[in-house]
Amino acid sequence: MSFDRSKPVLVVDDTYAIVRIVRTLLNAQGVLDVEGAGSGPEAIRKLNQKEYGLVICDYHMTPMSGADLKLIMDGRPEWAGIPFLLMTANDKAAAVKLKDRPNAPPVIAKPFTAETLLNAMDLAAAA
Amino acid sequence: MVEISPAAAAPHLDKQEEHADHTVLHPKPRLREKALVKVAPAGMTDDADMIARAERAVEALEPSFAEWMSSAATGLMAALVVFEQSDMGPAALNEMRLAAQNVRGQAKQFRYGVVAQIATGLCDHLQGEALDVPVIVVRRYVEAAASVIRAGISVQSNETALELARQLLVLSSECRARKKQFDEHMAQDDASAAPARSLEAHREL
Repeated sequence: MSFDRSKPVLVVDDTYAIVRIVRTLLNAQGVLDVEGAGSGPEAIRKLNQKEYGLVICDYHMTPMSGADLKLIMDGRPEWAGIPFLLMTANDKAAAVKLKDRPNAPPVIAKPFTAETLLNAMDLAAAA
Repeated sequence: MVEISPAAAAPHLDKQEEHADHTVLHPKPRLREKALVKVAPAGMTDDADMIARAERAVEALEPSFAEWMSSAATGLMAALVVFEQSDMGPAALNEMRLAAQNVRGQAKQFRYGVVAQIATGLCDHLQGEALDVPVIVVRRYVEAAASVIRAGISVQSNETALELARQLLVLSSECRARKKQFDEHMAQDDASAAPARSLEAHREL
């Protein structure tokens, strides 16, 4: 199943530069509605206001990690079905931490190319 | 003379009505056809085009990478100052770890290979419940990452930067070896003191 590019995407990362890079990659792939959030709580505020087709989120964040945001989303029926993709610079550690979690999202390791991101988005949509 | 059928003569027409003084042409409805083409799933070529376009778009951002890395270095230095003045407990360690992870993530994404290597070494020291090396070692890592960023070294082949990263790894392994030795020594001391302590406790009874 491939990701529906007509739906808005929420990119969550406490580093502005990464949000900018992901937004640029997505825009060039035909995803025009891309919004950024600098933290988990900000992402939750945005999720309350709009219906997103995909959430791409950094793993290491404070006060809420990307995995914690996913758990919160899983607890809300209206958000549980939104495809979710985690980004991390340390994919091995993330894999270990997510090993026993139900509905663990796909993880994309930094650095990622446009192709990797596109494939991961399709994977997240199919999950 | 060869007769050409109306359909062959005007393939774009659905039908043609002939009237006394005029002709009505009905073109074939193509709208659905066009719409179907637009929503058809992207094929391999489309994907390759899109990926190439996306890579070019990111390349256009490359002039900003140095500025973003520089602000990440400033953030890391600020986090270190706060960490050094703190109790270095779990909360402070967590803040420091996040700052280091941010630098590592950006360095990897923006292909600052040596900085990513240094930041990974720093993250390793900040992974546990408590710092596993003296705080001065953390400072050495932070300063090294900031220096490489400020010097604008993004290539993995810069010998000076690589040497700096190597020296930090040596420093880390020396500190860890010393800590291990110390812990083993303390454990031996505890083991030899245990029977004496137990005898004292027995006498008190």
